[in-house]
Parts: sequence; structure tokens; C-alpha cells
Amino acid sequence: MKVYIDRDEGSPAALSGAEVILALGPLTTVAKAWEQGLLKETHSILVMGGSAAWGDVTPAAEGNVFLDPTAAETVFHCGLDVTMCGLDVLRKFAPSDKEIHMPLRQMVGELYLERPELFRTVRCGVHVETEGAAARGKTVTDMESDKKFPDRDITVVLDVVTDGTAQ
Amino acid sequence: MRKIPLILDGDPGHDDAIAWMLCRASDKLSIRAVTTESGNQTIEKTTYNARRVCTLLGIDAPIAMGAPHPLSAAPVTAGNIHGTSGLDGPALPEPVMDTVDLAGWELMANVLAQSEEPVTILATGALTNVALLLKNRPEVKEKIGRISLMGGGLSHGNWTPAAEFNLLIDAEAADIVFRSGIPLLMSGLDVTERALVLPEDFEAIRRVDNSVARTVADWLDFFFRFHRDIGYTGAPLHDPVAVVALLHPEILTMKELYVEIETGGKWCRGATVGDFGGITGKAPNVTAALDIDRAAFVRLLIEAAAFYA
Repeated sequence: MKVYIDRDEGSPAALSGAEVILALGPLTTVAKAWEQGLLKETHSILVMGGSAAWGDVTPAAEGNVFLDPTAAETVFHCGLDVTMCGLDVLRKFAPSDKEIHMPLRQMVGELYLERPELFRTVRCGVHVETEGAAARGKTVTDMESDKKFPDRDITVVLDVVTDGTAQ
Repeated sequence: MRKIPLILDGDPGHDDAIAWMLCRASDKLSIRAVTTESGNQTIEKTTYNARRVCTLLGIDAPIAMGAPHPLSAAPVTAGNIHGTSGLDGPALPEPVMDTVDLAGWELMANVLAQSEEPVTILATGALTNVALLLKNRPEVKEKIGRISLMGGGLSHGNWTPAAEFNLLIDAEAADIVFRSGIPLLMSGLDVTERALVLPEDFEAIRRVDNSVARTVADWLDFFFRFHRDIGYTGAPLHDPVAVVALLHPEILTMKELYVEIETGGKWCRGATVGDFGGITGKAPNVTAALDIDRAAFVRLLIEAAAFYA
């Protein structure tokens, strides 16, 4: 499995050939790579950002998604297998939001890829608010709402357990 | 004991009617006026329902028809949940009273202006009338003690994944009220979907065996149908929680929070965005109910039904 770690610093071309993309930063580069047709080998994208609960840079939004909500919405709906591994579970590894930094995101992402059975996940619909003011950058899920999105094909990681019974 | 003067503002609606049943049965509240909102059905239907419910419950207060539509958005109704009449199910008495010839916000303004003590508003529909009151008669704002509202959802919505019906259908009105500085008690979906009344509870209410208790049980039967079909094990009694927030906050888990209304957005119009992380540094504008002692809630409903001999 060829895992490419993206920090949203390189050129989109660097992503070609990646089977799995572990996205630690904003999704601008990954979205561009998708739009340029460079992700032919890619089957899944693990997004280490977003939040089904509340945000960290605004009450609604997680920082990486907030920096480029349109790119995030593109990535979430590119049709590949997309997993949102954001603040909901990252907060279980850090005493405060300030300590959720890139090395932590990478550590949790690599653990998820290696030992997915340690995590509790839910399959649901997710859309990114690309407009508005108070909610701009929010990753809206439909896991608890009576009304569901028509497309419910995102895996959201909610929690980590230590006894291997998450699934 | 002095009673709290109260204005009922809602769009009855099964759960609005049960909320009003709790209010009329309380010796702590004095109902001064009833105003209607469009929402669960059109304004004509919710106003007719308000008159029928007040007749059933013996609420003797002026009733005014509220705004026919939201401040700027197109009207939306919820006939899929409350039926064609907005209050389908048991037969109700024909109204013994008419409405007064005032707009909802005008009746609110009169009650506030005439009251020597602060008046509480129970808002269980859209916030259109309250927003019109604040726009048209800002000087009476200081007479509003607090507003206990059913609306919003800090963790999720129901009419859209992000937004709850009452605040979504008039997000501009909700925004005005949430920015008003008036003390707000918010009972959103976070708590109201936990205020589940189960079929066995319907029967306990029915066994109280008076005309109001039997009607409430029949309303619950009807209200449960829609919810059962989408996976609920009971009827989530949204609006009555806003009455519990006034009368029995001890059975609720409450949190002071800064909450903003999203009025734009592609997915989030009408959403209540709560600052759980204290990121904005803004002072709380809302006391939000987040959880409820369900068994105690059911006991309150049964006790209130027994008031109507």
C-alpha cells in the first residue's frame, strides 16, 4: 500500500501514484490533484481534519477545513473512499485543541491505517459549508439528524478504544 | 406567591398544545396573551388551533393572529408531522372566543407596556412575532423578563442535517432574537429529542381520565406515528421542554453558551452555532438545556393532566 502523506505544501503532481492519501493539512493540493486527474491510482483519502462536533478556529469549523472549505467539499465528494478523522477523535489524544498539531495528526492517521479495529466509526453523509458566516467551514454530518443527506458515503471516525471492540 | 406573567407564542401543533397544557396547569404562571406563528401549519390553521386549544384548556386570555409569513423567507409548513389541520387526531371543541383585532406583535407590545413586572415569553414556533415586536416597539424590550424558546440544535438539526425547523423557517427572526440581549432559555433538539414520551406513558396519561388527559393521549398517539416511522421509540415532546426550563430547571442539564444563528450558508441556514470551546471570547447569550430527566418529565405531564378535573 503506497501511502502518501500530504501537508498541503507540495505540487499536486507529487500525489500521482499514491494509493492512499493521508492528508494532514488543508485540502487545497489534494483537491487540485483530483481536478487535474492525477489520482488514478488512489483508492482512499484519510482526512485528518473536520469535526462532527464543534470547531477549533471558529465555534463551527476545524482549522484545516476552514482554510479551504471548497477544496474540502471537493475532496469529500470526489467519489473515492473518504474518511474524516477529525477533532472528534483527535481530541481523545490531546489535552486541549492547541496540542492537536501535525505530528499528532500523522500519528493518529497512521494508527488508523494500521489498526482500524481500534477506532469507532460511523458511515454517514458529510457536506462542508462553503458559504455563510457563523457556520462557514463546518463539516456538517447527518448522523444524528432526522433529515439525512442523499449521499451517505463518508466514514467518520468518532472515538478510539483500547480493548479492540470498537467495531 | 406571585405568578409569572406569560405570553404564549406558538404554532399549535401537538407539542405546542401540550406545552400550553403544562402552563395552564401551573400555579406559578399567569397567561396574559396568546399569539400565533405560522409553521406547523399556515397562520390561519394554527390560529384556529390556538382558539380550540385555549377553549379545551380554559385559557382565558386575548388571542392574536401572528405574522402570516416569516420576515423575508418563503413560508414553510410541517403538515407531514402535524397533519392537514396542524393538530390532527382527536376531535376538539369549537372555539368559544375570537381573536383580537391586533397583530401578534401588537398584542405582545400592549401586554408588555401594561405590565408592571417583567413578562416571560414562551416561544414554541418561529420567532417572527418576537422579532417584529423588537423591530417595531424596541422600547418595550426591557419589559421582557426572558424568553424560553424551543428551537435550534447545538449538535444537529431535523429539517436539514444542520438546522431545526422553528429557527430555520425564519432564520432572520431568530438572528434578531439571539442578538437582542434578552435572557434566552434555549431548549433545542439536544434536549428535546431526549424528552421522549413512550407509548406506555401515553396510557398513563390516558388513565388520568379527564377530557384534557384523554385528548393529550390522543395527540401523543398521532404525534408518535410520524416519529415511529423514522425510528423513534417514543414521541419527542419538543415544546413542553421550554415550559420545564421555566418551571423545573432542576430536571434539566443547562449550560451558559454564546450562540449565533447562521442566516446564510449552503447547508447551514438556520443552524445554531454554539461556542463550546470559548473561541469567540463573547459572553454567553443563551442558557441552553442539554439533557433531561425523562422519568421526571413524564411525571410532570401526568401531574399536569390531573389538574383538569
